[in-house]
Amino acid sequence: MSAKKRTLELGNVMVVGGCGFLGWHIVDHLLNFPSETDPSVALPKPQGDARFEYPTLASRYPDYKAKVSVVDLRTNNNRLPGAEYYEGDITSAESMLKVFRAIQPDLVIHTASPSPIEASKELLHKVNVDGTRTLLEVAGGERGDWGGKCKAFVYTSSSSVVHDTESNLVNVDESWPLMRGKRQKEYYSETKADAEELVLKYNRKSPSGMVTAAVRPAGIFGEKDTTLTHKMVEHGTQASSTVLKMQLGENNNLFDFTYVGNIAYAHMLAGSRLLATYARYESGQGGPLDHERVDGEAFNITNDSPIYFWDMGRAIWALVGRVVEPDQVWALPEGLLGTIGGIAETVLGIFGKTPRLTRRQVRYSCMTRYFSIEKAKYRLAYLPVVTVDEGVARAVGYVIEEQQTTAGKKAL
Amino acid sequence: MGAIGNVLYYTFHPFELRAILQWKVWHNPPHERNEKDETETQKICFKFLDQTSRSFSAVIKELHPELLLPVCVFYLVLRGLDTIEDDTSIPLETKEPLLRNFKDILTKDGWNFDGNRPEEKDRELLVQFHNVITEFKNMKPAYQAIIKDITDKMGNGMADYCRKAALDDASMKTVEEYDLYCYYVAGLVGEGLTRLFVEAEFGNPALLKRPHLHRSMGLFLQKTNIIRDIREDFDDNRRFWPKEIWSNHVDQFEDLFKPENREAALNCSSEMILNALEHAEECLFYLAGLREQSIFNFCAIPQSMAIATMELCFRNPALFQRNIKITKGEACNLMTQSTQNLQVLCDSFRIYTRKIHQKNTPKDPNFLKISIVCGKIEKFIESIFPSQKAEEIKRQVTGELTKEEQEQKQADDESKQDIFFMLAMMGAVIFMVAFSMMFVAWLMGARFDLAWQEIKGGIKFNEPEADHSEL
Repeated sequence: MSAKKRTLELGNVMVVGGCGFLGWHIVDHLLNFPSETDPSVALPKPQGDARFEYPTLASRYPDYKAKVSVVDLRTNNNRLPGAEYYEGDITSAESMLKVFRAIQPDLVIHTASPSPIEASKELLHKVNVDGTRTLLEVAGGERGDWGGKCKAFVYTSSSSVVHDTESNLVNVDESWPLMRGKRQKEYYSETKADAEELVLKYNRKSPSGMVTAAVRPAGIFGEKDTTLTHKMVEHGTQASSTVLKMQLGENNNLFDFTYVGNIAYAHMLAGSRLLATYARYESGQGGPLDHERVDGEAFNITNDSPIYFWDMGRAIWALVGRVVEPDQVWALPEGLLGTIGGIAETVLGIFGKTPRLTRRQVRYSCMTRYFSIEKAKYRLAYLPVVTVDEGVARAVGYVIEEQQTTAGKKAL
Repeated sequence: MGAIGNVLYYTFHPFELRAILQWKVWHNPPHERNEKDETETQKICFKFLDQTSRSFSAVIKELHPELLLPVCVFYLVLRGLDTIEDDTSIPLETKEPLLRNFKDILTKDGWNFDGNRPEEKDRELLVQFHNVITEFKNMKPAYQAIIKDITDKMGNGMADYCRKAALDDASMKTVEEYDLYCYYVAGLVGEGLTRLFVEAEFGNPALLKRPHLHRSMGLFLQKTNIIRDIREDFDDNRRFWPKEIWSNHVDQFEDLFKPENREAALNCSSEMILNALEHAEECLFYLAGLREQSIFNFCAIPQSMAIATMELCFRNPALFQRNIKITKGEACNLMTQSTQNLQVLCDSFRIYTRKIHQKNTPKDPNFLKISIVCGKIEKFIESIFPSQKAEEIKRQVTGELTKEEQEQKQADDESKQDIFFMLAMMGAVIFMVAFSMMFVAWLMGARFDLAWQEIKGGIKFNEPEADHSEL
């Protein structure tokens, strides 16, 4: 489309949580996509099938100029050639000081978080809130000199910080209030909101004058994702045809699903804008205008193309050979299922178990949940690059091929 | 359908009958033609408008008087061009200069053309074209210049196309060629009309700064026609569906019409409809820039008909067998919905978008793309008419009240006070009355002390029963 490719210069970048799902994609971007040039780290992909053919990422995202270091609790998995790997614990100031001394970053991208599904409340709070605070303070030079000055800090927040898990969200923008305390029924989102506030309030408050911003992705999916795509493929291959035909609600509810690469890209755009802002402040020029400001701001990031909730599942199931035609669909009303889910939760709750269908799942599959990204479009010049349908082909192709390789290995 | 057929049909489709009656009874034209004061040539122009256009004549005749004749003449000029272009009996040597110079013909007094074959349906318009020319020359110069410019561009576009058809092969190969063709036959009309609207101050001048908007208005209509008319055009040996799209589904264009390729043909029509729906968002954007009711109606009616036609064609195998049309009842309903305001129109766009989405099937290779384009239309509508407001949610979170709620609360508090005061008054009156009555009774010798003791001792209801048992 554009004749000239953009280059984003990001200096010395430290990716915290760089061995996670989103972290890996951020590192892949920063290194200009070794996953497409180095066979040893190539992503599994079905061959000779037109449905899984798409242009390379490197040809469409900008060129990145950066020195890349990754910090994670464990760095055995998801490594990419070209980056330096450091083990470290963000909840420990000593551990962080050590890696900051070694890396000397200009820009920190903080994507580390425990799994919202598996982690305990204590762990979520410890990592997301206390860990983020420690990381911020070390980066800002408040916990001692590590020999350099970090200029910018980008935090991966979540779109769920404005969501009470029940209400519809229709084209919601960043002026929406955070859902806290009693209104927030998901503890993970509470900790993300706490951390986001810490990060944004820390903007220009540290000894180094570091500038900060937060990215709020919605419905992340893509290659290597262990939640959305993985679960949907699993359901699509294992469920009986009757179960597959069931639909909760009318399926007129639009939902944001966002390809991970676009989210990674938005982090880099935010980072590059922050570095420019920092340079402005440093050189004594006035700060940016309010309507152009990136520092101290949060940004919704989506594919800007919500789709009807059940279409996502059906598209994924069709890719694994399970087509559900519209006239076969068995649409069940939300009210009825909510009750059934409630009963199941109560009965199984007595035995300390969680049923396969909970009220929250019912509500989620019937709710409208999509965001406005006008702010990111205007202030970050962000536009989604990979479309939802290509993202789905990429994510599902990855799962199919990886399952086949593991099955092949087992057979040997 | 005969009369009996009609009766039967509407017995089983009462909603359609209702829509037709509603339109006929309740539709008030924003403006009406003043036939008394019309000149002879104007009358002839309107007669030709009725004869040549099925769908447009009614809406054109309701236009604001300022643009009534200019738009009518514009339409007839384009119809004249079209009649020359469509006639395959005219040799290229005659046709090409006619098309290219048509803009100059507009000022040639008394010009007529009788070179069309007898079966050409609008032949008579060109035979009596001098009436159109007379009216053209009576218009404001600014309007003349706009119509002349569009006639020039369109005539040359058509001439290029005819030349290519005669010497080479006119079938569309790429989507780009398809878009360009649609631009010449419809996008340009959108440009001309928009310039007329803005000139007459009925449209936001910003519409001219965003040419892709009026281009989309024309392309959405033209693409809808091309999709709907696939069978008719094929039978007349015309092909407008671009190879770049149909070759994704079948090897030969003819294969689309073979029963064994039904699925492939449906998938192909989906891709064509997907391509057309990509304009829908910009059409709504354009309509938001119109400032006069009759202009809005004139533009909105064809657009809502188009999206309804897209819904009818979507995943409909009959598309490849015969000419399909939306029913009269549906058309009347759409006209009612399109002659109110943008929000009502958006509601009907949303309804048809969802109907399309509900027929979308995962076995279609463009399943997700169609879901995306439907979602985009809905998201756009939401962006102009938001259903949720951040301020309201913020107040819910902080527990703060709006001005109206505060006033309401104050009013409630006041009325509560009033009620309390009245109850207290009533209580006091009752007390006073009771007290004075008891005082009077005491004066007359009532023994309250005995009554008091009885109450203290408890009232014995069962005494008479005990007496009975003793007997």
